[in-house]
Amino acid sequence: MIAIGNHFGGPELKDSQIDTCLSRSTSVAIRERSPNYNDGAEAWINPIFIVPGSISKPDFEGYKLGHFSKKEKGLVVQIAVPQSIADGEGIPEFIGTSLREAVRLAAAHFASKGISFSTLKAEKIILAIEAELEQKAG
Amino acid sequence: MADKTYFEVATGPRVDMLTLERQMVTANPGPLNLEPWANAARAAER
Repeated sequence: MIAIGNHFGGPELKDSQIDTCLSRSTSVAIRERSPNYNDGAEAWINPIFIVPGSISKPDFEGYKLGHFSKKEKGLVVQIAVPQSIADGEGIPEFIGTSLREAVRLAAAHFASKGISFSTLKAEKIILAIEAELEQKAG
Repeated sequence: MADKTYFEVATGPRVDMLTLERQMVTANPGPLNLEPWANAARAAER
């Protein structure tokens, strides 16, 4: 299961292309997942897209595993958005690829801790996000 | 930060950010601002 978060590094990014695409992805994830995803019965991930802006930029490249909530079984995966993507280049492809990588990293982390995590359910959400972004772009 | 989006609007030392926050709460308090200075602003409006 997936619940997306977005951190924009400046107010100028409001209503930008990256804001629109990430907000749409967040809405699709809300629509596609089960409503009680965070009740602690099943593991889930919270990918957070860190978008560079005029005030702050991500202090890492790629991906970073963050806080894990034992109670809710949710794991944060921070995703550093490159400047070229924030400028509007290949956003839908980046979102799909980075969500899949976040799922892969999280699955390895959960496996090492002996926690079950459904990559199939996560993939279904990613496919729905890609379809929505493609539809809006086309 | 599940299902949340936030935009950074300012950066600086803690003391400056606290002052800025107080100014914003005083000038435009929302329903969840329970600080005494927010209440004072609401009372002045009435």
